Formats: sequence, structure tokens, C-alpha cells
Amino acid sequence: MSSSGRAADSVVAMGMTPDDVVATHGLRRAYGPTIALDGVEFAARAGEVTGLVGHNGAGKSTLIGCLSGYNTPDAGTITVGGRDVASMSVLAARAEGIRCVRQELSLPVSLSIAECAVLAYPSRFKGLRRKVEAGAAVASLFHGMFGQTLATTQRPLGSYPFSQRQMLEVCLAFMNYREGCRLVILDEATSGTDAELTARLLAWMSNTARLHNLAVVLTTHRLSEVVSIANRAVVMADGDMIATLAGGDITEARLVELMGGAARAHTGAKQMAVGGVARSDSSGGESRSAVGGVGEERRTLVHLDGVSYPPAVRSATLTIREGDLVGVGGLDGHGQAELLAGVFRQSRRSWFRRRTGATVPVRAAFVSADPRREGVFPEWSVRWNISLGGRSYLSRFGFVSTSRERTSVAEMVRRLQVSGRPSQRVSELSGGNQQKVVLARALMGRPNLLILNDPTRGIDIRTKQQIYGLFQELAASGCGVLWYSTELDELELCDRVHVVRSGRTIGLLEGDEVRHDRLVAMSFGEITAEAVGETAVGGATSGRESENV
Amino acid sequence: MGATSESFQPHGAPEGSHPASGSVKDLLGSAIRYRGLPVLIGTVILWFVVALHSHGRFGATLESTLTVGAFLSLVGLGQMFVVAAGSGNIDLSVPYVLTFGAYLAGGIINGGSGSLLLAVVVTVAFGLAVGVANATVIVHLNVPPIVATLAVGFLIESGYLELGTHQSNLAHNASNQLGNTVSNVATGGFGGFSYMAVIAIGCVVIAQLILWRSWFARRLLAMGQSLAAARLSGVATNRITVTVYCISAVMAALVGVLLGGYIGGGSLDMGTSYQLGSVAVVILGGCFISGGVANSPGVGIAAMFLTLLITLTDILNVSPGVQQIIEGVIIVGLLSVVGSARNVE
Repeated sequence: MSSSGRAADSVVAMGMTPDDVVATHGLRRAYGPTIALDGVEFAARAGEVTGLVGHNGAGKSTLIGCLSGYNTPDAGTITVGGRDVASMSVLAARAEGIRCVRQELSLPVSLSIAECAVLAYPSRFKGLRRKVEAGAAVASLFHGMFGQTLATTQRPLGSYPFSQRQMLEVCLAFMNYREGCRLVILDEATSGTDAELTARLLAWMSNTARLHNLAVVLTTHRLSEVVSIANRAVVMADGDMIATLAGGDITEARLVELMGGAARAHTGAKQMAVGGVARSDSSGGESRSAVGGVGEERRTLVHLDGVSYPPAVRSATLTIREGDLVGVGGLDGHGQAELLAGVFRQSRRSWFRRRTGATVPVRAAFVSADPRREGVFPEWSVRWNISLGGRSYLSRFGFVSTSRERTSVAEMVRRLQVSGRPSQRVSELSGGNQQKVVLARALMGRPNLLILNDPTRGIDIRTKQQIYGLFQELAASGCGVLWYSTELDELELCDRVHVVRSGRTIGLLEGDEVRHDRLVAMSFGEITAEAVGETAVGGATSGRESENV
Repeated sequence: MGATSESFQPHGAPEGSHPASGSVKDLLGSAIRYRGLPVLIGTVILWFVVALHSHGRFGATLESTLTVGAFLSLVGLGQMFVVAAGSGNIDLSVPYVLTFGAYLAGGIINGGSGSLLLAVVVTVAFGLAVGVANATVIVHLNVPPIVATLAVGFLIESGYLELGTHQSNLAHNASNQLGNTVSNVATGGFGGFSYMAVIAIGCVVIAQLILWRSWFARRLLAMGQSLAAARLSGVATNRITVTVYCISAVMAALVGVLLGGYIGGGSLDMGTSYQLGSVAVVILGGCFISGGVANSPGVGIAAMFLTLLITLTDILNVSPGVQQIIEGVIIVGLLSVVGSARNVE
């Protein structure tokens, strides 16, 4: 199905119809070893709402960045306003009538929405009364969009709650919809808005796009929004467009199936990375429990029951026992990092055991996603970087026992295959090797709970494979592992995966259920745990197919 | 699991995982990269200039410089630990602690009638209290160190100014209040070496041993390089912060006692030059002002450098204004060299 989708799309791209506001040809963009866009052929048509969906790291944000001028592609062209360009600046994109609302919001918090409107549309609002005029224009547009009256347009944006600011930014992006504006891109711009207001906004957008021949591109984690208004839905995975659905073909079940199946079909290279490591399914799990709990059952390291770590984590429920490889999934930025940080902080306090029902003393170690910022100590050698983790047993009267430091660091360097001498400065190593150094430091503390915040981000496949093996080896030896990953393949290695959404652990997948399609289904949309059970009938086909393969 | 453990067999261990043996070339390379080198060269040059001006008395010049520079180097060592903690940590309460320490010990010893031991114990306790106060304001009230330590310093200053007006003996009749023992230590010596020089050199060596080998310093320098990474590695950063401010304040208070003995009693402005002086020697000595890299011999040498610089401008007999201009230009020039040395690394 993916090939047919791409074929259909290339037809659109080749003979660019006059309706295309923006089209991309062979757009490529890489961040280090990660390929964010791999020859994307995307087009936004006038008068249409295009839904852009895909899991974490599918390349949506990079594509949007290229269209709106925030990112510069490595290769390929963007056709806009009848010209082919290699890249655009934000100003150039705006001159072409392209406006973008980004998930993290971008308007200055100290200005009012009226002032922002004056700044954003200098040619429209002029003269002494420009702020008043802009305010009136914003207010009337806001009323049209959301059916609500704005009390004032002169308050600083910072005084509004996040959801209101999102609505105001969306409103600002559409200010010139009658003339001048040709494409509005909303990147998760409705994430904080409630269902009723979102429905109004969607209806308004759908009408406006049609009446004023405007193109709208929408990315959202709520698939129902795409289903309700999109004329076309483009599914992305691993930097590539894998399918384009139109009109009635757009259904939630179909999108989930495409994303789940696509993630599997398009990760051949990654599958190799994971494939080298035998997935421990039910049989592996049993053997591990035999290894882990020497006497009998494995003891509890962490047991959270509806715990909150304000403001990002609202309700977390999870259990980690010795030898568990517990994954944390869901769309990036929904409180997963904060959850891990909270568990790490608590595990370092003595009252942790009482509060969380741990039955053994916990020695937690943490590995973060970015070794350069939160991992290595750049002025130090590899040896000093690693040995810091082992100070409990490399110490003699508060001083470093250098002979033991040398031997145990050398052993760790061998075990993790760090390619670098222990005496070498750590900042001379590659990112992957720096991450190995951070891992080595974590292991030096002989932890029984290892907390991993997306530790393989931006690391090459060979290194990843080694690291996967290491995690499984650790779990087999009785260490509990809590692993947040933005990559579905990695989560498939886990015994069970908690899916986090809006700061809550909304679902748990165990054993055979830890699959791409289920993870995608749970991460997205209003599909709750029960609904996943229903769609599993539809999703089962793709799951079975892949098993047969 | 079979495949897993196989991929971690040591067959892929990199060769030459032992540090390269120290060939002459390596030694030369590390000497050139040594961040204390600019100030060392500057000090040697100044030493020659000053000694030639005083009729070629190299030994005498060195000895007097060591003695006078000892006070600054001791305060500088305390400051070095604070600065090494990074995140803008700096102790500007040093001059006030130093002055108060002199008066405190003077009041207890009272010209030799009181107990020296008690005076030392009380001075150390005072230093610890100031260190805890500084760190508490910084860590718990979240005040930037530069403001917090100045505020604590002004509190201390108000304390001794107030005491000075009410008890005239403190501020005015302080001469030789610290007793003969302290004076002897501060001004005396044996076999051509002053006690102060020996104390300073000893402290520099001990501080360097701590920096090389102690877990305290490892955690401190880790924190200075990356606060986030240190926290995630389980370093109790708040505890380290308290410790370094205590070290700095105790050093300053004890130097106050010795300096009081050296100049024959406390004076209200005895600490003034140590505020920026202590920070200057830390930076000139090759430590990172941003933290994470510290160099105790460099701090000692930088203290000698500043002392020699003041001696030189004294010898040249120029007006005080020109003196300060010369000092300023030379310090800035040297700092630019130290700064570029960092970039080479």
C-alpha cells in the first residue's frame, strides 16, 4: 500500500498543479546520523486541509520547518510562488503568504496580541490608531473562529494560560486569510484546546480554506481531528511519506494501521540494529526471572501508584522489579522525561522505600539523551569521567585509590567497547562513545535500577546494537531498567511498556502486545485502552502479516 | 541471550588502552599546555626586573615576595575552591571575614593574656558559620553568589564597624593585640625561610593533592563542568557548595589572624585588596572562572606575581594613579594570554 501511496503522490509532485501553494521535491535533511527527511515529495494545495500524521521522529516537524523557513534542507527543492528554491528564510516564507503556528509557541510573552498583530502585519495596520484597529481585527476574527468574545486584546500574552495563547497564535496566523495569506501550518497547535473549541476551529478552518482558496496543513496527535476535516492525509514514517489518503479513505483505524505497519516496514535498517539482539518474549522472560530472583520472586524496586511530579507528570502508575526491562513510550514531550527524573530523584532519598513500597535499597543510575549537555565532563579524561560513578568502592579515606581506579575503568572500557584510551580527553570522542562513557559511569555505581532517558538518540546503528545487548544483559543479571525511548523498535525490546500521554500513564502493553501498531494506537488520539482492544481486530491483520514475514 | 553476551566479549577491546608513556615530547607538550605557564613566565620576568633594581639581590627578593604573597595565596586557595564549583560561584565576603577574623582573635588573645587555642577555634567556627550562611543564601534563597556573598559580607562589616565604635579598644588600640606567638609566626622564620612562605607552600601542595586525588575534588570539579551531569551522576551538589564556601571563609578568617599578627593588629581596611585580589589570582593561576578546572600551584604563583607587581611599582616610585594603570594593563595583558591558552586546549 505504501508504494501505491507514493506513486499517487509523485504524480502530484511531478506535474505541479496550479493549485499547489507549496511543493517539495526530493527534500532531504539529516541531523548527524539521523535522517529526518529522506527525499520527501509533499504538496499543499489551495482550498484543502492536509493532515500530516506520523509517530515521533517521522520527520513532520522537520518538513514543516522547511516549508516555513525555520529549517534549511540539505538537498531538494521547494517550489513556491512559481519558483524553485533550495531553501527559504522565515521572512521569505511570510512574504509568500506562509504562516506557521508551532507547538512550543513563539510570540513574545510581554506583548499583547494586538501589538503582535501590528508587528506581524505592518502593512495592514498603520497610523496612530493601529493598535486599536489590530485589536478590533483580532477580536472579530477570534469570535468568528471560536465563537467566543475576547474581553481585551491589550493584555500581555504571558498572562494567559497556555491553551488561550495557542488559540491567540492560531488566530494571528489566519489574520490575512481574505487576502495575502496562502498557507497556514498548524504544528500541534490544538494540543491544549478542549474538544468543543477545537471542533469550532476545525469547522471554521475547513470553511475558510474552501471559500478563500487557502491551504492548511495540520499536524496533531488527535487523529480524529484529521479524520473530521482533512481533504487529504499524508502519513510519514522515518523521514519518508509512506501513504496519502484522500476523502473518505481517511479513518482512524486506517491511519493507525498505516503508521504501525509503516513503522515496521520502513525500519529495515533499524530492524537490523534490533535484530541482532534476541527479543526476550515470554520464554526469555521466564528464564530471566529464574536468573534474576536467585531465591525466588524478584523484589520490587519501584512501585508508583498514581504519583504526580508537578507540573508535567500528573498521574504515574508503574512497577519495576529486579530484572524488569520496563519501557516508557508515547509521543515525545508528554511528561516522560519528567517522570524518569522524578523516579531518579526519589530513589536517592531514604524515605523513597517507604513511600513507593520498594523492598530493597535502591541504587539508581541515570543516563540522559544528550551526553554533551547532561552526560560527560568535557575537561576530563575518559578515566575520570567513568570512575566518578564508583566512588563508593574506589575510595580510601576519601581519596581515590588510583590502582583500583585504573583496573576497574579499564575493565569497563573493555566491556562497553569504548573506542578511546582511558587517558584520552572525553571531548575528543564521538557522540556515541561519549554516551558509552556515561553508561560506563552509571554501571560503575553497580546500580540495581538503571533509568534511561532516550539514551540512543542520534547514535549510529552499531553502537545502538551494543547498547541494546548491554541493557538486556543487565536486566538478566537482576537490574531493573526503566527505559524511555522515542523509537518504537527499542520499545519492542522491553518486557512491558507504559504509554504516557499528557502526564499520565494511560496504558500498559505486556509481552506479545508490545508491538509497533499497538504502541502507535495508544500514543495517538482518543483511543483509550478499551478502544485499543477494539481496533486490535483491525490491527491484527497487519500484526499477523508481519509475524508471518 | 547468547547473541547478547557474545557481542560483549572482550575481543573488540581497543589496543593501547594504557596511557601513553611520558616521552620528552609529551612532557614538553603538556608543559606548553599548562595553564599556569603564562603567569609563571610573567613572575620570573618580574622577579628578575625587581631583583636587578634592588642591586641583584635575587634571593632576598624571592623570600620577601614569598612571605608577603603568602597571605594572598592562602585567601586565593579558598577562593579557588569556590570558583571551581562553577555556576557563577564566587566569594566576595572574603575581606570582611578576614578583617573580622583579625578582630575576633585579637579580642580573645588580648595581647597574650587570652588563649591562642581558643582564639583559633573561635575563628574557625566563625569561618564555618559564614560559609554556611553564604551557601544557605545561595542554595535555599536562590540568590546569585555575587550578591549573596556581598550581602553576607556587609553584615559582617556592619558587625565590626559597630563593635569598633562602641568598644574603642577593638578598633583603635588593636596594636599587637594578637600576641607574640601569632606575630612570630607571621613575621618570623627559620634557616632563611619565613614561616608564612612554608605555610603557603604547604597549603598549595595539600590543595593540589586534594584536587588530584580526593573524591571531594572530583565531585567539585564535576559539578563545575556540568551541574546537570553531576546531579544525574548522583553528586550531592548542595553539600559541595556548603563545603567550598566554608573552606573559603575559614581560610580568610585564619589569614586575617596571621595578617593581624604581621601588621601588628587589626585595621578596618586590612582586607580591601583581598576581594578582587583573591579572584584575580584564581584566574591568573589558570583556573576556569566558569568552574570545573582548578590549579593550586598556579594560584600560588599568581599571588607572587601580583605581589611582585606591587613591589615593582613601588620601586619605580611612580604616582599611585600611574601605579594602578600599570597594574591594570599588565593583569589584562596576562589574562588575555591565559584566555587564549584555554582556546588552544
